[in-house]
Amino acid sequence: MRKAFLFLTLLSLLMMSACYFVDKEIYEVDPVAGDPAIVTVVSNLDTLPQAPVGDSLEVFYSVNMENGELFFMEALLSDEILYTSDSIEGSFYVYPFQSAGIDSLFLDFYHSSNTNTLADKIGYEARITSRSYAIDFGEEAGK
Amino acid sequence: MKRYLSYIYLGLFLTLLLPGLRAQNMGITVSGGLASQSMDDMKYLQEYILGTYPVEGKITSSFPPFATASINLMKQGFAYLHFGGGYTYSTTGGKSSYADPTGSIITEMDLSSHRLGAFLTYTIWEREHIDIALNGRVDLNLTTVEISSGVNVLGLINRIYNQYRSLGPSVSGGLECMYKFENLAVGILGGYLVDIPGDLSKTDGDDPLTDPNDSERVLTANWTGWHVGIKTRFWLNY
Repeated sequence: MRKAFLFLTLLSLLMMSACYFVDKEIYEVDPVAGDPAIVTVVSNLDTLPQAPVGDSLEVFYSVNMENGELFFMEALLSDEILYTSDSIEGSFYVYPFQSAGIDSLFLDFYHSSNTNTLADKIGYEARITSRSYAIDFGEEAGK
Repeated sequence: MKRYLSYIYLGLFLTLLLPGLRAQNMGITVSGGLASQSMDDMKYLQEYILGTYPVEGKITSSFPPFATASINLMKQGFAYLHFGGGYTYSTTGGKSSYADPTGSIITEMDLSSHRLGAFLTYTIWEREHIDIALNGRVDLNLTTVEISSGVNVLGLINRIYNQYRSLGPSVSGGLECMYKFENLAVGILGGYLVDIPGDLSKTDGDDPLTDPNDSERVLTANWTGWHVGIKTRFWLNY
């Protein structure tokens, strides 16, 4: 009788491991990156070296993406964000009180990386195309 | 569904009351093995979920034959008849996944079947140490389905977990071959189970699990399939 119950207990213990379905396999992929996006940025500052701000300066931009998608763009002046947009074209103003002398205005365009990874596919991974323009804020102006 | 359970227990109770049976031996049977399942709706749902991935994932397991185990109280009836009742557990599952250096998506579906019911075993061939018997069984089947999906992208994690259940009857029939020792028998068994699955609904809120492409159709988890395994039988009052 005791042997029978011992056998029963051992059998039950052996069967315990099968109580839950387990699959530890994970399908791992090494994605092959696609061709990088070709980004063309056009701005009215392209033909205005050291554009003077005067009372105000309107900055136009237009971006053309080939083989990619624009997520958003930022305009930065002295590490401060002046303007942000998810449109492929737009405009914003720069004022003399925002800086002094010659300063750099950066237009950063965040677009798809085309690495074909999960992060790329859901828009969590971006490549940055950046343009910088020298802006003349004048001697008298200042923050 | 309570009606099915009532019938099972009423039948078992009345059978145990038969006068010629009271002096017979009581025993315990324990069996374990593998069971296949049809799970058509669950495979369909798994394919649908995979199709929602933004990347090309893969199904690494789709409800394969997996473990089943049963424990029963048994009474010897007439010369060639055993009957009793007990509990049977079966499990299976499915998994689809995708992983690359930037993150992963993993969807797991875990299914369990808890069956409570009664059985009859009729010996069709017997020698000193070996007997071969037919086995029939009726159960009430409670199925639980757990579906979890996890997305991890660059360390940002989002998880979804849902649990569903259904209730329905099932019947099974099979054949077993036992080698008998003095008070113990061991052997093999095989059979086929026909499940009549109930509609799956959420455990919290009773919302049905509907077909993503047809909101009028409620999905089921169907355990219909073959099973094979090993079995032991102990007599308690020897």
